[in-house]
Parts: sequence; C-alpha cells; structure tokens
Amino acid sequence: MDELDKLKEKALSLIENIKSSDELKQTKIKLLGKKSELSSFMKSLKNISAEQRPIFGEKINSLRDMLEEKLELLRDKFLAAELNKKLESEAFDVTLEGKSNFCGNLHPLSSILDIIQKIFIGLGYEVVPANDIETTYYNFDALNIPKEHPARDEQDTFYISSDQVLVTATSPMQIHVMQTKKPPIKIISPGRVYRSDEIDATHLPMFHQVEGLVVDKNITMGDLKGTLNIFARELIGSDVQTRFRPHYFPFTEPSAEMDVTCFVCGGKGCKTCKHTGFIELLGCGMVHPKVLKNVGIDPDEYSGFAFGLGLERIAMQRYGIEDIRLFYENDIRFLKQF
Amino acid sequence: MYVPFSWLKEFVDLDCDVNDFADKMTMTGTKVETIKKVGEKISSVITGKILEIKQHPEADRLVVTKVDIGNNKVLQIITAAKNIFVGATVPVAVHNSVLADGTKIKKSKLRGVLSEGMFCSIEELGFTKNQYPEAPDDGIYIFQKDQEDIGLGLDVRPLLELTEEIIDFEITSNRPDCLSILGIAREAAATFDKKIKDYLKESDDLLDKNAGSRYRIDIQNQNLCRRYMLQEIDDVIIEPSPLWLRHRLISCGINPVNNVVDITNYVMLELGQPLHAFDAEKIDGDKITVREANSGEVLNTLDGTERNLEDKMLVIADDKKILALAGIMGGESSKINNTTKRILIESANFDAYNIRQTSKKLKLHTDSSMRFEKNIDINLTELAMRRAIYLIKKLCHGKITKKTLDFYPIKKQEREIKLNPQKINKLLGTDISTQDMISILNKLDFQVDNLMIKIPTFRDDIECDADIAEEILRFYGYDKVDCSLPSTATMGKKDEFQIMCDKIKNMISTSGGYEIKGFSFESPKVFDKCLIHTERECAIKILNPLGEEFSILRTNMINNMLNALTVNLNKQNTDAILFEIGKVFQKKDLINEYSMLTIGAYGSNDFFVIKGLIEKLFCLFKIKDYSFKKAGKSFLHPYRCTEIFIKDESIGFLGELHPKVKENCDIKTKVYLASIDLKSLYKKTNHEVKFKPLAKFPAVYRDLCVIVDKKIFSQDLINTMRSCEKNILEDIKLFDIYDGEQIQDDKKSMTYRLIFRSEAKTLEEEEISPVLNKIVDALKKEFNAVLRE
Repeated sequence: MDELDKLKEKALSLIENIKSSDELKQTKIKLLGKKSELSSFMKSLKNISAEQRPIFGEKINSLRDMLEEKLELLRDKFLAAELNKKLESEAFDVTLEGKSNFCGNLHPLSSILDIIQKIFIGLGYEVVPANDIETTYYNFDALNIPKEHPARDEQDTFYISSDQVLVTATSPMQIHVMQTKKPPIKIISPGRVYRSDEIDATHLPMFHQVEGLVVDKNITMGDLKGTLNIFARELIGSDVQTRFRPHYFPFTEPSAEMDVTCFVCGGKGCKTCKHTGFIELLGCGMVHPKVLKNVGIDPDEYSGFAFGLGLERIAMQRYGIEDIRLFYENDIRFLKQF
Repeated sequence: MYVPFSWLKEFVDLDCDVNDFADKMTMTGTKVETIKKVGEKISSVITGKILEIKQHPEADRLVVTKVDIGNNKVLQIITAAKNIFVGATVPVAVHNSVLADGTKIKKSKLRGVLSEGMFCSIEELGFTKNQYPEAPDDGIYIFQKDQEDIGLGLDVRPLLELTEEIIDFEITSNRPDCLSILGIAREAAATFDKKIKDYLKESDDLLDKNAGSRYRIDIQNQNLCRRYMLQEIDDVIIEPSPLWLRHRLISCGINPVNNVVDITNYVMLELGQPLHAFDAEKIDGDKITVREANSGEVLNTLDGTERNLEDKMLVIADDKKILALAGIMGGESSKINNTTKRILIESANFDAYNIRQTSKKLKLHTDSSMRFEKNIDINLTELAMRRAIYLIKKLCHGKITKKTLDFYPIKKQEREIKLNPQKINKLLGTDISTQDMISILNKLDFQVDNLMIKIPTFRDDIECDADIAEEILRFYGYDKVDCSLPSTATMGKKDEFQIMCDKIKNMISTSGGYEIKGFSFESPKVFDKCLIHTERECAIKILNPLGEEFSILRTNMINNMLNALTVNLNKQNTDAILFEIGKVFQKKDLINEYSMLTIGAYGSNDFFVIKGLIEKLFCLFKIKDYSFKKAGKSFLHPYRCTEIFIKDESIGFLGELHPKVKENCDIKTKVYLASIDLKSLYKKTNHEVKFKPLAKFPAVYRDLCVIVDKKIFSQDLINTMRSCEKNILEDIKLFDIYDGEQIQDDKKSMTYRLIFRSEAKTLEEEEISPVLNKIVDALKKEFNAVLRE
C-alpha cells in the first residue's frame, strides 16, 4: 500500500511538470501504459489474498481514474492554448472599412411622399398617380372653373395646345377617378404640377402635390377634419395641434385651409410662422355639388371631401430648407442628408 | 388688400387690439397676411423750433443751430440743410432716437463742435416727397403754417399721421366685395357681432334726374357694359388732397396725385367700385360712347405708354378719339391736371371677362382692372357715384348743376335660395339649430323669410346649399365641428407598377445610388447638345413657356442627368451614382407619357458597376431572358455601349457618354448613362410562381478554355454554347479572361465553367463528353475558336 501512495505522489509530480502536449503523451504512456508501474500493480493483484484483492483493486482503479482525469484536463488546456495561438496568428485589423459599405438615398421629396402614402394606405386609401398633361376640361371645367372664372387666370397655366395644359394641380385626377370608380372612393393622387411662376427661393414653375378624395354616402365635414387630424399627427407628431380656417377653392364648398402648430417654435410664435404659432399645411373642403354633378354622381345621395398638399413645402418646413431650388439641383451633399 | 385699421373703425366699432382682430378675422375666413405698423421703428423724433442759425467755424457747408424742443430745453444741432430758417418748426431726432429705417442717432462732434441730434427730412421718416407734396425736394421737413401751433417736444408721428396699423388681407377670388373697406367692415361686423355704421351718411343724393345734361351716353354692347353713370361737375379746384386722405391712399399702396384723382381712388378703396375722372374740356362733342376697339386703334394711357388696341377691347370714346380703356386705365388726352376746371366722373359696371382678357393681353394690371375682372356688384355703381360727388363738392369745391346720367337697363334682382337646415347639418356633421342658422345669415345681411334666403347682390358667389353651409359654418366655427371618420372600410393599396418602382428605388439607393429629380421641361437646345436629333420631332412644345430654357417637355432624361452629374463634378463630389424615375413625353400621333429609369455615374463607378446594377434589377424581378446587345446610340461611345433586351424587346441602353457630348457639357471625366423603359420592364415582371422540386442529383463541372478573336462578345459565345444543349447544361459562368503572353495580340483566352446536371440521375462521363464535343465544334465553326488545353 505504501508503494501505491508513493506511485501516486510520483505520478502527480510528473503531471505537474508537463510543459507540452508531446510531454503529455509520453507521460501518459509512462503512467498508464501497458508497461507502467500501475499496470504492474494490476498484474500483481492475483498474488494478493482474496479478501484484500477488491480493496487493493479499488485503490488502483481510483488512482488510475484520478490520473486519467488530470491528464484529460491538461490535454484540453493545451489544445485550447494551441488553438488560440493559431487563431492569434490569423488576426486582422477589424477597424478597416467594410466592403460595399456605401448606400445612396432616396430624394427627400420621395421620402416625404413615402411617409404620406403609408399614412393614407393605412387609412384605406388607394394610390392613383396623377397625369402631367390634361385637357382644359379636366383641369378646369369639370372642377367648376369655367372659362370666365378668375381662378383660371390666377393659376397661370402652361398650354401645349388650345385645349391641353400641364396640370395646375393634382385635382384633375379626382375627375378621372370619379368617372371610372363607383363610391365608396378613397384615393390619394401624387403628381407633378405646373404653374408659370418665375424661379426664386420659394417658387418654381414645377412642384409636387398630393391630392386626396373621398366620396361615399354620408361623408361630412367632420370626417374631413377627423381624417386630416390623424394625418397631421402621423406626419408631424402626436402633440401637433391643427386648426381649420375658411378658404376658397372652386371645386370644394365649404372649403378650408388646415394649419398646424409651427414645426420650428411649436406654437409659441417665430419668424417661420410669422408669429402666429401656426403654419399652413394643406387646402381642403367638401366636394362641390357641381363637381359631383359633372361626373354624374348625385349630390343629394353622395357627398365627399378632397384635399391637396404641396410636398416641397412640407419638406422645406420639416427639414428647415429655405431654398426650394435645392430640390432640383441634385447635389449629393444635399441629397445624402435625408 | 391693405386696410388701415383706423379706416375700418369708421365703419365698425372695434375695441380690440389689432392682433386679436386679425386672429378672429382669419378664423372667419378673411385671412390676415401681415400687420404693418407705420412708423413703428421711429422713436424720440419730436417737434422743435429753430431759434438761431450761425455759420460753423470750421466748415463752410455747415451751420450751427439752437433749437427749442419745449420744456425749456434748447439743443445745439449742426446741419448742412439749406431750407431751414429761424422760427421754422421741424422734426428733431434727439440723442438716442431712431429713424424709420432703424438708424440710431447719437450726440457727436462735427468738425469739433457738438451736435445733439439731427433734423429730419420726410424720407428719413419713411416717406417720399410724392406722398408729402409740401415737403421740400431736398431738405428738412418744415411743418406748415396751419401746423405751427402744434407745440414743441411732441412726438412727430401723430402729427404726420405716422401711426397707422395697416392690415394686409388675403382676398380669395370669390369675394370681390371684400376688395374694399366696406366689404371687410361687413365681415368684421359679422365676426364681432356688431352693426355696421351708416356709411351712406356722408354721401350726396343724386341730382334730380329731370335736370338737364350736356352729354349723352351711347352703350354699344350692353353685355359688356351693364351700367354706366356719368356726372358732370363744374368749378373744381385742383390741388393736393388733405393729409388724412393722402395717408389713407399711401397706406393702401396708392400714390396721391391730386384731389380729384385721389377721391376716385379713395372711393374705390372704400367701396370697391373703381371710378374714373375725365377733364370735360378735353372731350370732343357731347357723346360718351362705350364700344369695342377696332384693331389698329391706339391709346396713350396715363402711365405714359402707347397701347395698340385689338378687337373686343372695351373702350370709352368721344366723337373723335378714345378716352380710356374701360375699367383699366384712362388716357393721357383727357387727364385731370392742375388747370382742370370741369370734370366728368364715371361710375360703371364692365364685363369681368372682357376686362380680364384686355388686361392680360396688354399686360396692364391696375387696382381698377383687378376689381372689375372679379365681378363688381352692379348696385355699387350708384353708391360710389354719390360718395364721390359728396367728396368732390367738399374737397374740390365742385358744383353740380347737371343731372346724373344712369344707363341701367336690366335691374339686377336679389337671388333667393331655400334654407335647408337638415341638409346643411348632414353635410357638415353638425347639429346647428335653424334659429342659429338664420341669425348667422342675418349678420351677413342675408334676409331670411319663411326659410327663403335673400342673397344681397354684393354676394354673387352664393348659389347653392353648400355655399350657405359655408357661410353658416364660418360664423358657427370650423373648430366646433366634431371629428369623425368615414365609416365604410376600404382597402388601402398601391398598384403593382408603383410597387415595382418602389423596389427599384430602394435597390439602387441601397446599392449606392442617389435619387434625383429633374424638371419636366427643358430647352430645345438639348437635341444638339446631347446629339439626340431623332427626338426633336417628337418634342412637345409649351405654347406660353417661361423662356426658351423651359419651352419643351423632356423627351428623355439624359440632359437632366448630365446636368446633375455636372453639378456634382463641379462641387467636387468624387464619385456618383445618380438615378431618376420619372416621366418623359413624346408626341407621335398622340401624346405619350413614358415612365423611365435613368442612371448616371462617374468616378469609381464604371460601365460594369452600372451594368451590375441593371443585372441586379433583373435578378430582383426574376427576369432571366435578358441580354445586352451591340447598340448604336448617337450620344454614346460607339464601342462602349449596349442595348438592353428582354427576349426580343429592347427596353433600354447602357453606355459611356460620347466624347462629343462630353465636350458639349464641358465634362472632363468618363461618364456612364443607362436608361430603361419601366412600362416595358413591368410587362416582364409578372411571373407566376410555381415551386420546382430541389435537384436531387449532384452537378458535374467541366472547364472549357477557348482562344477567340478579341472582338467577339462573351455573350455570343455563351449563347452558342447554350444552343447546343437544352437539357443537362444547367449554367455557364465565365471565370477567366486572359490576353497576355502566349496569346496572339488580337486574340483572347476565355475560360468558362460549364455546370451539368440531370434531374433524373447522376451524370456519367459518357453523357457529358458528347455535349462538350458538340459545344467545342460549334464554337470552332461559328467563332473560329481554338481549344486551349
């Protein structure tokens, strides 16, 4: 028994001194191999008395188990260290730039339009893009702007023939939609519009609008207000306040302009809102009975509301852009900011 | 429309602050744009009397004065002004005062002598000599004799009527009645629940219609002139108008001329009815004719311009000549001047459309035409005439002995509309009582009797229930309408084409492209500039463009793209991929709108970067049968361009910009352009998706290396290889091009990996070899290819 203890002590000291996985292999053979002292002990078991044999056998086995476990642990440690060394040699500079890491951008007017479209699609509106060219019937007459109407001059119109114009608003699409769809109608119609304004920091002869139209039974001014309030909150923020002011459009009656609390000062009053706390967001109103009649919808049975808003103006207010020309200059330093 | 607040207060008792007033008016529909406070910036400019004037010891051109500014204070002020004299009362800007333009005045030494302030000219107080005719041409304003006892040390602003608050209203085109103080006053009275004051008090009754008249009126087209009134007034004395009147005109943006002209303008501002005054002595004959001009007639208008008249332009004429452009501007020949004694006052109602057309054709827009072209209440004609007569008698010493001529054959009746409270509440989503509706309508001078509403003639815009609904809602309050939502459920969506365009935008932008927007119009010069002459014929011209630069609609987006690329090159943005999705316009038999995608690039983005984007696009929409073929585009490099096909349909192009176009655009670097017709692309995106079982058997790879002529396109080699085998040849990939040593100069070595696979079994060599041989033979035959071992 003393000899077994001595062997244990010797073996432990050998294991403690192992420095590499090669040494580990050799030590393992020396301690646990067929020619090892431990094997000799095992072999000598048969010379021991029957009652002593299980006790002694047990001791030898537990020593073997203990040594095997120690060696196994050591092996794992060496393997881990070696793997780590290999991996270290594979190190690279993770701070270098990634590949294909560039990204362009949508034009700010597209981004704003996306936001607006998502809001109205969520409210059940179909998107019907507007035309750029219309006949004077669609651009004016059907919208209750007859030939003698002053509004026909106010919006200085580009003509491409005596009865074809570049649209002065996205509203003509209202007429197409009402001619081709049956109520309930809920659409928005984005498009380019044209007016012969000289170019300056706030005017261009071409800009973008989004039109909205709802026609059904029992549509009220309350529906118009409710819808546009949701729109304003989604577009600007839940704490925005709106106000509806009477206004005039030939194709709606009653008509209104919707103001929202100023983006810049939040309603306290500043230069942007001319110290009123509000800025104009869009024009709207109940579809004029004459317009409904023009497309063959009975105004006694159906009613509707319509609205129109300018994308450039919303983008300018939202992003604090002071010169409208920047939208069409297409300088990447501008485009990448949105 | 500028409205001096004090003028408005003569019509309505308003006791609120101007800002509150503006807010409330805005909310009932008369929107206030701005409020200008005259003389707001001026401070500490007071009256002073000059006591002494002495020569400045050090400067010939300066004098040293002593000025009494009241309260026993005397200041020493140095001035270069020549028009001052001892005893004159003048505006004095004392130490720390501010002038109209914001200039601060402080004590200072002038050539060693202390000056404790400054005398002011009328310009320094924010006005012009034209507005204050008594002010000297060049010098200090001196208070007139009748102002002499005004006291010293007083703020000069009230004395010069420099304290007005001017409100600028936005007047919509349906409310011509509000282009007047009276109209705004009516709105104000309704808004603040006040009664409008009796504005007829200060006007004369017309002279007995039986009295005689020297003149006759001849109206040739009664549709264009529905009412014409004329009054002769004798013995007028022409002089500047009193200060209060001049001030009101100035406040409203009209320059004072003389008392008669000023009164016609004053009445126009007050009541909305433009008037005109003729010098009666300059009229030939006794007949005033209202007729359409004949083409070729000429009139010198009051603004000193010779106007060539056209048919249909309405004019006022005497026996020999044209006197005025009806409703727009008078003529030089019958103008009121300082010696005028006898005048004719015209108050008339002309056809709005005719006036608008004439005004537009002559590019002559006046305060008068601006009102006429929006339709004026025909019953205002008489009111305005009575007011003018009153003022001319009072301010110009005019005498009236002749009767007022009044041509008014068809009297306008008040329109009647039935009040339908139920319908109005249904439209508004409100529950307003009939009584409340009636009381609102009454406030607006609409009389309601047994639910029949009488619409006053000045409210010609009120025609139907919806109009009545708006009137009621304006004063009930837009804010009192409860919010609700349409109750029918509908599906919100975009169509597939829009979804495709969105996907393309997102794909290109996440791949590094910046979306741009270009104008829809451009100059016809682009055809020469961009060498796209073939499109010249189909360009749509704008008949009334802003200028040549914007005179056609774009037939493609090349020029816009080149402009955008040039901007970025000039701004030293080193690399760019730009793209636009938009419409272009071409006229063949009909006008066609095409939706296009155009991509432009320079810098590290070369031909193959853009080609990669386009291939990615096909990949995105699972389009496989596309090809790039040799193209001939005048604006592209002839050997670096390709036409893009899906099956047999050309859908666009890609290439390097032609050096000549580069030169025309002053672009120094290589630029690449691509364009795709999106509607053509869209037609090919509509694939029915059906699941195909995944391949069970392994693929077999064979590499094939051939030497061919350099001019041969890889795509052609691939097409030939593909045509040899339809079943087991799954894919062909080029993986090496070599044209170095061991290869003849005009040849290149192309190595392809051919991927074979069968759906039925694992392929064996004896099935692949014959296919490979067939391919090699075909390449040899068609391209003279040599197999490289």
